[in-house]
Amino acid sequence: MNAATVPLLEVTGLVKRYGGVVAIDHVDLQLWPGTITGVIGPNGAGKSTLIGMIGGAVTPSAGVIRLAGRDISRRPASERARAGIGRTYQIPRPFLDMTVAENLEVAQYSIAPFIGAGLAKTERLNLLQLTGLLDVAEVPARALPLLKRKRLEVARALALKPRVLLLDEVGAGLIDSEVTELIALIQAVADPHVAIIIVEHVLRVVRACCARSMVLNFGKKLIEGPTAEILAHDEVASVYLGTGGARQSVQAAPKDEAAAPQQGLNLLSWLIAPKPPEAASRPLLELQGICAGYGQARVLKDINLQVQQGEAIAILGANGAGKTTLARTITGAIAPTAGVLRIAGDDAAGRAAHEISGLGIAHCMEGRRIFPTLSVRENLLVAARQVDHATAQQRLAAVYELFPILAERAAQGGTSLSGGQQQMLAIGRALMARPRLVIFDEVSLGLAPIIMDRLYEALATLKAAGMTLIIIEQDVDRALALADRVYVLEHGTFGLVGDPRDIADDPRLRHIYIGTAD
Amino acid sequence: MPDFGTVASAIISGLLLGGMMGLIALGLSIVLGVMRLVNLAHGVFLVMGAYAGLYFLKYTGIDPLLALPLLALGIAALALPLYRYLLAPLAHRGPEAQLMTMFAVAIILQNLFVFTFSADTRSIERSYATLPLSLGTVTVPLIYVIGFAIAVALILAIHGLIAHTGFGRDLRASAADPAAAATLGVNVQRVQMLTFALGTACAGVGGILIGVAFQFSPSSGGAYLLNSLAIVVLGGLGNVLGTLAGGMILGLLQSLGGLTLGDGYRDIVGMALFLLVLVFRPEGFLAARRA
Repeated sequence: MNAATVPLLEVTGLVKRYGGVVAIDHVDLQLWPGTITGVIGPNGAGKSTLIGMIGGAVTPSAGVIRLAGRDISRRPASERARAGIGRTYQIPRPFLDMTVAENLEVAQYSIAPFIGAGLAKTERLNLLQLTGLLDVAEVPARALPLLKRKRLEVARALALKPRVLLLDEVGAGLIDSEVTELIALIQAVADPHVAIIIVEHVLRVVRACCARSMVLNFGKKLIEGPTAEILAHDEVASVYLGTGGARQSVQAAPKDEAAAPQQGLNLLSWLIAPKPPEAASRPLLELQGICAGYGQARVLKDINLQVQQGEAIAILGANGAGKTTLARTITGAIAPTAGVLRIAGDDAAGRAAHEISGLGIAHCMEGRRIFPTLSVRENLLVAARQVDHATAQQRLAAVYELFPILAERAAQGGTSLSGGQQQMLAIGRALMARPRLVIFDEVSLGLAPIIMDRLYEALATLKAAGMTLIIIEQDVDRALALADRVYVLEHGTFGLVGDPRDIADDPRLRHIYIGTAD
Repeated sequence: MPDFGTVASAIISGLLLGGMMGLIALGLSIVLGVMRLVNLAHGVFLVMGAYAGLYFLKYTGIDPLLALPLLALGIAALALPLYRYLLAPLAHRGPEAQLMTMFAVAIILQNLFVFTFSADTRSIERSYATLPLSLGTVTVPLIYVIGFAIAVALILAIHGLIAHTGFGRDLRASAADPAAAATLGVNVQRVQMLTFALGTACAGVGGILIGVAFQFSPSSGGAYLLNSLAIVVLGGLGNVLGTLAGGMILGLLQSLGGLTLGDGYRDIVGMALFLLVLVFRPEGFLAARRA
């Protein structure tokens, strides 16, 4: 083998078709040892498919993948892992009941079943040191917060002693200070013998780690070259960020403009429950002294919250602060252990999820939770409960008006859509119940900024039409731009409550975020 | 070397019988898909159906095949309290709790049958059950043709129910992600209860067909349970028409096995096939390929 002239990983003419859809269209890629390459592009561009084909989880329709000259295009994922292709998953998948050290042992012994215990331990300690997990080596993976789980994901991939390391959206779901730690981690694990590919939405990671990058759009390679040049390229900016970039657009858009209804949306009233006559007197949702948790773990402590008809509430907080637990408590997925939960004045504590849904609370769930065995249309219709055919059709038409792409894909399987389209489907599905209040749980997680813009535009339209919203978000700027009132969760209680403009300038917000992240 | 007529008759008989087994397996399949429960009492429910048909005939004089909808409803109704009082309370206690409960139900029911009806081998005596249907040299029992027609009609009806109705949509959603379905307003417990009743009715109707075509005793259920498991694996979980095809393939191979190795080896063919599928195509030979 001639290491100097053969690329470590060589991808030639790679194609993946799903039915009539071409997810990856003749992509070529060469990786040399000691390099870190970024793969960026909007949602649905085919990034995950490309990583999936290199890792072996997805079978290519055509093309060749060579690892150090050897054709591995048709080898199973497990064999590729042993041959030196390590990968992390977008959502970490540690063995939850094993300790951090045991998670690494699984990988170590899979490539070297007869490795000496002492040597294995030394290597393991080095890895734990390198990835900053030494202090939690004996902690079960279940107890780790997201950033530590991502560290473990990287450590486990490294334990396979990979020659090519695929990092899939490692930055997703992390706040700014955590991204800084992640960048330091990636720079620490860089090795002159290893080629690393980073697929990432968080551009800071790509900018800081990758010397070269490649932009995918609609399954094709748009451009490839030094990262700084790529990111400065106008064409890339317009494809990936929209015009001007997301942060600017949010900051630039004044509130009244963001709230203006989109042109030509006439059917929206089919998706928004009419105001009940008593709306003015009673809060639509009322929580008093709510406590909730899982088994021994008390996640929420003494939560008080009132949502009036037509309000938009943002609930912010770092990972693990209890945001999703709060949503699950309101929607009946878990029962509160103490406190009062009232929906339009009715006691709803301890009611089953489907009953709470019947009271007019819809939940656009974190992770989208699209039914893979149902078509796009069927996914929507599941949520239209106890209505006649004509009404259900009207609501479908209204959702299609809000998200026209769903009408085009109506007959396709729900999970055949791209991430952004699936999120549109999840939002549309929540609206199909014609709810009084919708909880939007992390709708922008892992999506490209231009898609986030599109989703938040839809949310603003809903708010302008009179829908009551609770927005649970990592992305502070976006939530602040839309909300009337903001609640910031810290260790299961509201650490900060107030008007979005005051909260945005409040130094405690930054403290709560960075404080809990450590 | 058997002549053409014998071979063709065996092949067609196998396919027809396999269609009936497909109906029985479909009941097991939908309960497994929606409740994640391998219903170990499925075979005993089949025997229960056969006894129901036998005693219905004895006391009313009406042919149980004519009263099939009524008997199916009655058997389905028996499943409702089983779900409500035994299975639903165990839903959050891990998968083993429901599995072991249904194993216990199977043992209790089987012994109840021995106690009530004796361990004797019985059959639902109908004059047409022994009539042959001949076309040239090919001869198959008329009851196989009747049973096949009923089974296929019911499988197609269930396919329509699952693929094209609101209940079917709820059923598929509950099977894929029960927590998400509940959050969207689906009463998942009700869907599970009705699915369990439907699955039990499939076993019951299959039992009546088997009772007319063959003999049965309180202990007959085990073999049908095992064959059904093989068919579910063969046809792919959640694939209704695949289950029919899986049943017919198993029936055909069992017939050929009986023809070449002797009648006592029918079941061995089925189980060998079951293991081979598990090894080489655990998602089923006929698993639906979704775009």
